[in-house]
Amino acid sequence: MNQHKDQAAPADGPNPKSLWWTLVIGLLLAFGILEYAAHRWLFALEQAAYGRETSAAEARDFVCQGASNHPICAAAFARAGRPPAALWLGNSQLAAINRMQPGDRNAPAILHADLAARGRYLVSYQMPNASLDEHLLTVEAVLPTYDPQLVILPICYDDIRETSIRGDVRAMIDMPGVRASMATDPLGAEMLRVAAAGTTDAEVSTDDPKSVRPKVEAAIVGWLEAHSSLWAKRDSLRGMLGFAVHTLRNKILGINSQSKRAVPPSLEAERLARLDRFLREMRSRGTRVLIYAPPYRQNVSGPYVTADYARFKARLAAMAAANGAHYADLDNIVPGPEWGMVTDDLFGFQEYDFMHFTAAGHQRLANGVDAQLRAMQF
Amino acid sequence: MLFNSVTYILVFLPLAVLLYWALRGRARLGFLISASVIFYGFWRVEFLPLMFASAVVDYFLALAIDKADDPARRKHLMWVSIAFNLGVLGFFKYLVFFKDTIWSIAGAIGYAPGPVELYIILPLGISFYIFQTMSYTIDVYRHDIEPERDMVTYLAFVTFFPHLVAGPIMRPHVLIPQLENPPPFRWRNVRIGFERILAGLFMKVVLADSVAGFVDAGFAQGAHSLTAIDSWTLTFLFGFQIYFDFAGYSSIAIGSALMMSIFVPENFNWPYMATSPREFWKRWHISLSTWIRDYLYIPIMGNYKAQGTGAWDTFRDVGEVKSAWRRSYALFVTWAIMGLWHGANWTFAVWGIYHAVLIYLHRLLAPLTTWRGRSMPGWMAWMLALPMMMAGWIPFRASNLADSFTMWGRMFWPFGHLSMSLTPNSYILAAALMLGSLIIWWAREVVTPKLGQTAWPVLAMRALYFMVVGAIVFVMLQSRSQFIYFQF
Repeated sequence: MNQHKDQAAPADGPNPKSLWWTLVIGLLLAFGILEYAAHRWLFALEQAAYGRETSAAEARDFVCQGASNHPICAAAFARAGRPPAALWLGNSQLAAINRMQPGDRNAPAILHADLAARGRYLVSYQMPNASLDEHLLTVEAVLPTYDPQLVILPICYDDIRETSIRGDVRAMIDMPGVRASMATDPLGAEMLRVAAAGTTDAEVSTDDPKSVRPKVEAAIVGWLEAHSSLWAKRDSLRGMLGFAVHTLRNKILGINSQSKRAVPPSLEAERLARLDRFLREMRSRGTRVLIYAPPYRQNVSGPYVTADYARFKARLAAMAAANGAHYADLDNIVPGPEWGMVTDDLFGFQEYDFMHFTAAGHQRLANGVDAQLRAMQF
Repeated sequence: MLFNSVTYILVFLPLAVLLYWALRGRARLGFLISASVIFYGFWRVEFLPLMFASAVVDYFLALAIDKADDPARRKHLMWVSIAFNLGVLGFFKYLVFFKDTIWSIAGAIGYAPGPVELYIILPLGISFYIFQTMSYTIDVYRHDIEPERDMVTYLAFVTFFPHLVAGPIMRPHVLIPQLENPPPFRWRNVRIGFERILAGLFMKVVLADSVAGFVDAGFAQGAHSLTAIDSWTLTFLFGFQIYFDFAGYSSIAIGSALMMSIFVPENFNWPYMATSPREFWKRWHISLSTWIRDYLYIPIMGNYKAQGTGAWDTFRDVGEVKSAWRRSYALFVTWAIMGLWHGANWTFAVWGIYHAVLIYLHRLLAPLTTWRGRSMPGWMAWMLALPMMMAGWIPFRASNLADSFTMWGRMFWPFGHLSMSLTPNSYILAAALMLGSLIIWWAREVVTPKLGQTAWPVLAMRALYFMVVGAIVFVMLQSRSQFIYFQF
């Protein structure tokens, strides 16, 4: 058999012990650092995501994120007897409370109770930095579950840049009956295409019934999580790593929460065009929509380019009017003292928080939205 | 089974390597086949018979070719093998594409055939193992190799799990001798194999999967909303993603085989450091480009001369023997087929032709770039070649031809450079990857050879590298996505 010159096997080379030592020492250091991080740094990360002063509110069965906990909210709605429902989308502003005290409630919890007294039901789907696409996909996916009479949709100017659809939201498409339901209306079909374009054929399916791969992988990972404390903390360590990279980027580039972040005009136009189609779709379904500009800290200079933001809000108002929706500008309803700071224990920086406020701020937001709902006679 | 899964890394591979060294002779070969069956069957058991059928048919055809004395009969049998292999590939990979194309043409000229839905699942790795068995019978036909008479050795060659589903495409003359006369156990190979697997995992689960989110979001945004800088950023990001994805896969394949002291040839050699389109293809997916060269380009050119000399022995005569027209014809046909090998879509054909055009232009223009007997400085050639190579990825990733041409148009749209519509991290990431790649290339290819592998600064950097890479791979290891080349 010919031995072709360009495919020759490598000759045996030297195998110095120093190369082994560097490998062993490097890996020992790697696991040493991970153990240290898991025990000393991870507790700090819990504060780092929102900042030391801000915490996620108590979990509720009318507050969900995506496919993973949608059944909890759907079951609670069924238990309540399927009353007329309002669907409130949002980001971490709805979820987190600054300087939280025992018994504090966030805006969805307050409004849920207020509406329950009027025989209405509020269910909320919220995710940090939620993109408009995630909101619209969520609405389309949960329409068959709640058949809501009203959709409450905050349009956060800062989140306009977000274009991704996270796996937990995309997975809602595969809930029973959702895909077929979405395919029947133009926006639903559009969101199916958007969700498909946001992924690749290479994405791993976790529930392929003809493949043993996901089942075996899940079993091995489950065993490792049960028998290795370090393995069980990998998700948190992954979050810490992401946060570290994000912070490093900000430090290198001198970015903080007050740095001006302009929204590209083409992206804004594209997002608003999709919002316009959503409003038309909801109007044709007979579902009322309240869109609002969410609370925004006013007492210090913030990240929005003021003129752009004002123009953006004017476009929202005009779009709502043209499509029979209701628009509310709630950006100044939370006064400065009720906003928080982001103090990060992991890396030690402190900056103004433009997203999260105290329980008093949540009360103001709930009241502000409720006033709009009453005006809409909901 | 996915290389980037916990199942493979922590269970399958350690067991496979231990049992491989524990067994001897035919038991070892039988074990390799069994391990490969488990590896492949983890995806879909029902496609295993197809793989074995393809292998067994070529096994018997190769024996028949070897036995036949009549040249016409030998050629006839070789064509049976080619027709069988291309028939299988055509059915599973191209039937829907051909049907859709014919339906589109019929619709365009006024006929409207009724809808016909074909549900055909592309068997994992079919493009790779079909090419491998096809080249085996062609090599036997050419008298380049003797046919393997032992079925067990032959099946171990075809199904060898490290390269089964996405290459590197291994030639029979490279792998079969290593299976027949296994190289002895070497701790050095275990170490290097482990290091290659770790590097491959880092490229896949950390780099490629992280870049994928930005690429997916950018392409989902729509080609019309992209500016020039967006389009360039996106194409560089995808260029890095596909490199880290496939080079990572190849590195894990090479490392896995090396733990059994089996040598698998390199598939990548710093492709983005190439200074010309031709050099790029000597550095990118080397096993495929050499396969295409030996079994397609040279035969199309009609330059395959003497049996038993190996196809690449004739390659050096290309410029002397054939006319420029024939060379160009072979170039474009080869690249169109190369494109379609990657996927049943016209975007891949355009991708192939794009590269044919670049290589053709390089042939024409390269002599003009010499001045006073000196060729263009390497850094300048690299700066010209890199964007051209990266821009070539657009049709590879875009969902249709219209988007591909729109993005190409935007790249050279003079009024759209300043506006940025991707997420800010996209630009930062593209710049960081470019800079990081240059630093690593410089450290690996320039500094390390000068200092020597065992110089203390190099050893310190190695320990630091394993600390960082080991920790990050441990944290990030998850089979979040398949490898891109699984689609092909």
